Amino acid sequence: MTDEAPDIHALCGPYALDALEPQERADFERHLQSCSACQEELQSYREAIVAMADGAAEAPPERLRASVLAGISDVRPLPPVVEEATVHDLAAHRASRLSTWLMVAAVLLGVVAVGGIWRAVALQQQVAQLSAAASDISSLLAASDATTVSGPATTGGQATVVLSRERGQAALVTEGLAPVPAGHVYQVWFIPSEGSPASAGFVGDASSSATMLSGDLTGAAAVGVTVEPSGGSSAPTTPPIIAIPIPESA
Amino acid sequence: MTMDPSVAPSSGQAPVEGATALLTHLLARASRGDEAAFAELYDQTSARVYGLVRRVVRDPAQAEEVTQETYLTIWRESARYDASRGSVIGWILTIAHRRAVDRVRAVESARERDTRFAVLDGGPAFDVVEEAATASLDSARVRRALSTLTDLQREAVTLAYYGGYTYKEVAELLDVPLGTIKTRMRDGLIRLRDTLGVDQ
Repeated sequence: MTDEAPDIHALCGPYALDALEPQERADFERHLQSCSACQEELQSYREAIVAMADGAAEAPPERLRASVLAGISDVRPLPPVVEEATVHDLAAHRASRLSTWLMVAAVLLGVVAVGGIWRAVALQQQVAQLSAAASDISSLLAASDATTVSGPATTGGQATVVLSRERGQAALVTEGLAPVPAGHVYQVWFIPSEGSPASAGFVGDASSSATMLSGDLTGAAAVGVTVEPSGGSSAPTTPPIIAIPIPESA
Repeated sequence: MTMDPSVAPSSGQAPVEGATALLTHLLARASRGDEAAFAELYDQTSARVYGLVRRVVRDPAQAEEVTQETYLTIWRESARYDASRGSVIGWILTIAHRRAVDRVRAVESARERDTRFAVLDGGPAFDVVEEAATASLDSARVRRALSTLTDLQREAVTLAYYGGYTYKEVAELLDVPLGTIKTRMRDGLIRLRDTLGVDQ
C-alpha cells in the first residue's frame, strides 16, 4: 500500500456512521490500530450513536424471538481471543444448497463471520468431510499459518482470501458475485504495495466458487478482482470490484 | 452551549448504569453458554436492534433476517466483547448497524442502485428520504438533538446512519464535495455527542 492519505483522520466521522466503502473501511481500520487520536475520537461518539439507535427502537415481531433462540442452540460460543485481527465482517451465510464449493464457502464464511485470524486445526474435521474437489483448499487451510480475510464485492457478493505465506499459496472463495458481462471474465490479481499487479488467474461467476490462485504471492499486499475481456489482460484495465488487503506475514 | 434541561445527561443516569450492568452480566453469562441469559439479553435489546436494522434495510423480512444474523454473531462472539471499547449495547448496535448497511449494499444490484439515484437525484424526492429517516424517531430527545445540527450536518448524519448510504453517495445526493461531507459528518457527530453523550 502507498502511504496513508494525509486526511485519513477525517474519515473518523464517516467510519463511525458505517459510511465508508469496503476498501476505505479496511484502510481506516488499519490506520485505527496505530492512531490513538482516532481511537479516542471514535470512542467519544459512541454514546451519541447509541442514542441515535435508541431513537429508532421498534418492537420486532414476536416470532423472531423463538427463531433467534432456536438459531443459537446449535452454535457454541467462541472462546475468548488472545490476539486481535482486523477481518472484514461477512453477512452470515445461510447454507441452502449442497454444492462442494458452497460447503467450502459455508465453512469459511462461518468462521470469518466470527472474525479474527484463526488456525485451521479446528476446521479440519469439517473440511475433511468435503469432497475431494476441495482438497487443495483443505490442504491450504491445514497450513499452520493459514489465514482468511474477507470483503464484499462492489457489485454484490462476497469474497474470502485463504492464504498461507509459509506455503506461498492463496485461494479465493466467492459467493454471490454478479454475472460477468458477456465476453468478459473475472481476473484475479496479486497487488504489491509497489509495482504492478500480477495476474493470479480467473474466477467464475457461479453462485459460489473456490479457486486456487496461481503466481507468486511474495510481496502481494492485496488480492483484487477486475472485469477483463475474455482471455484476460496483462494488467488490470478496470477498477477492481474486489480488493482485499492481506496480511504481510501471517 | 445552553442545554435543554430535558436532554441534560444527568436525567436517568442511574437506570442507565443499572441497565448497562445488567447487559454486561447477561452477555458474560451468555459467553459461557447460558441460553436463558441470552434470551433475556434479547428481550432487553431486540427493539433497539430490530428498529435500527429495519430503519436501514426497510424491508421487514430482511430486517428480521439481519436481526437474526446479528444475534447469532453476538452469541458466538460474546466472549470477545471488550468492555474497554464501549458498552454492551454499543457493541451490539455496532454489529447490527454494520450488518444492516452491508446487507443493503450487498443486495442492491448496480441497476437498482442507479434507479435509487435516479429517483433521489431529482431534488425534491430527497427531502422525503431525509424526512422519512428522522420523522418517525420515537425519541423526542434524539429529534431535539438532531434539530441542533445545521441542515447539512443533519442530512449528512441521518442519510448515512439511518439511510445506510456511504459518504460518497451522500455527497452525490446532496451535491456537495466529498471533503465537505466528511467534515459535516464529523461536525454533526461532535455536536450530537455534546448534546446526547452521557459520558461527556
